[in-house]
Formats: sequence, structure tokens, C-alpha cells
Amino acid sequence: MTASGGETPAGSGRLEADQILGIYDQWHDDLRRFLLATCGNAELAEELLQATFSRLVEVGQTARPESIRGWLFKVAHNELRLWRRRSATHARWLDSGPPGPTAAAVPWEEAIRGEEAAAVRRALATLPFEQRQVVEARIQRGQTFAAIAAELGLPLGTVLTRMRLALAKLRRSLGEKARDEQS
Amino acid sequence: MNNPDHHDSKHHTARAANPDLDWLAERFVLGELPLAEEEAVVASLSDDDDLAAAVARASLLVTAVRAVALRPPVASPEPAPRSKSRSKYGRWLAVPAVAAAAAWFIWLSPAMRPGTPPALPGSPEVAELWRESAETGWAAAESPAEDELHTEPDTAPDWMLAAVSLDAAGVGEPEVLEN
Repeated sequence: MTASGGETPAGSGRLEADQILGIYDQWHDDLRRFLLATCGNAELAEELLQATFSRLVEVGQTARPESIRGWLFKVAHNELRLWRRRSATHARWLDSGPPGPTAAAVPWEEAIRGEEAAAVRRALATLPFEQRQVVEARIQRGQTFAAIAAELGLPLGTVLTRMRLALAKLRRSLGEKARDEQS
Repeated sequence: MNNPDHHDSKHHTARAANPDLDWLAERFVLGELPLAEEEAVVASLSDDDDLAAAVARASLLVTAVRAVALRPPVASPEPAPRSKSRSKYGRWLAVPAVAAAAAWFIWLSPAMRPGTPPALPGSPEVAELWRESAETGWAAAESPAEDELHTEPDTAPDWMLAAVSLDAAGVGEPEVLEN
């Protein structure tokens, strides 16, 4: 089996270089965003991206070609978990919640194009204040839902509902663009 | 991994309590799922393309919202405040000054002087000008918008190329881990 639908190299059983590069070209943006979103640290995301594609080189032939993106997400998530387990800063990371924007966050700005930023900013501006407050606290300042609920004096369920509604509205604003890119 | 029944049960587990796939993916990306649900999502990812697509959408959304906080909005340039130092007499004096300058310019222009043929370049000169401008790429310079839109083709980074070339050479045979 091959992850990009071509022939598996005879003997080695691994993907060929052009297949790997093809997969990289097709999915590295999705994977970088996924890692940025899950780990919240641009430098770490780059390291994990590299580790993930190293795994593709090593064992990518075990993935089914029609679900290679999900396979990459899974590997990336495993790499993140491994890093958390190994990292000496894991305990501190758990205490403080996901790290927020840092000085090493330049690639974050590269993760979004100017027109996307403008669209997101417009969509954020249309959110009711209560919803925008939760989105900014969770995504932009990295607070946990529990911390936000405590700070606002609200039940956790209310905070989650506000977040869910806000993300649904934001998703509608970005959804068409994202679907276009994925198709 | 390739047992269809096993896939179905994992999909069922991941989605049963979460009919809203996008919300499930968003909480997964934000790290807000309980451990059991997170495990179920991870187990489903490589088999459930809808879930993988939802995770990709959630990742885009979260990175976009976070990036917006770091990217200052492009401010539209404020019009400069008009100087109030010029008196109304100065404004009136400017009118004849501009008219005089225009008359002087017209008089200096050979094409406007009576009896003077316009100094147009001959066809060899036009051909030479055309050739020079084509060589210096004036067309590109006249359309800076297109030039700005041009981006380098997306190429794999050095580490990716190195990994592939090492692999092709059979260097660094790794142990196979279950993912």
C-alpha cells in the first residue's frame, strides 16, 4: 500500500521520496495549524512537525492512502503526547494551562493570510460581547474554561455554551475558505 | 487497524456522545476533552476522514483567532490635519501664481509654439525605445500588484529533503512503532 496511491518501493516497503514530498506538499499546512492549535507554541510546533514527517518517512507505508491526513494528525498528536511526557516543563505547562502568545510566535502570523485575518477580525467583532469575551480568554489568552468560569462567576456549562456558539459563528465565516483549501 | 468492525466501534465511541463533529474537534484541538473522549478521537482519526476534516477546520479556526491577536490590524492612513498657518491672503495669491506658472510652461513647450513642428521621435528611435523597454522589463514594473502577488512555489524545507534523501540511501533504519 502506498500513502499517495502509487507503487510501494520494492524491497524496502517504504514510501518513495516523491510520494513523501507529495504528501508533505499536500498536508503540511493542515498539520502545522493542528500542531500550533494543540500545543500553542510555534517553535514546538515546528519540532513536532518535523518529528511527524520523520515518522512518515519511517512507517508511512502503514497508513491507508485515503486517510493519510488523519494518520498524520494521529502521529502528530502522539508526538505531542510523547513530548509532554518527556518534557521537564510538563508540570508547569499543566499548572498554567496552554501557553498563550509568546515572543517566539512569529510563525503564528504566517499561519494566517491578511485577508483571513481581516475576515476573522470582522467575525469576532460581530460576536455578542459575552461570547467574544470567552473566545478571547480561551484562545487568545490561553485560559482554561474552568478558569474563565471562575473569573466570570459563571457555571462551566454556560461558558462552554458561549464558546460553542461563538466558534460556530466564526466557523461559518471561515468555513467556505477552509473547505475550499481542503478540497 | 484494518478491521472494519473495530473502526465502526471507534467511530461510534467518538461520535456517540458528540453529534456535533465540529464542536468535538474544536474541544479536541483546544485540549478540553476528557481523556477517554480524547483517546477515542485519536483512535478514530486515521480511519474517519470526516473527523480529520473537522480537526483541520478546528485547527484553522483556532490558529486564525489566535493569530489575529498577534497581527495588528492594518490601520487606514489618517488624513493629515490641514495647516492653519496659511492666511486667506496667501490662498488668493496662490491663484495668479499658478496661472503664471502654467503660461510659462506652455510658452516653453515647443509643440505649443506657433510655427514649430512637434519634435516626435522617428520610427528607428521608437523601435529602439521599444527594444530597450522590453529588455528592462518595464511591463512588470508597471504592474506592481501582480509582482506583489507573486509568491515562490511551495517547496519542502531542508529537513524534509534531508530526511527523504537519507531514507533513499537506506541510512538510519528506525524501529517500527505503533501509531
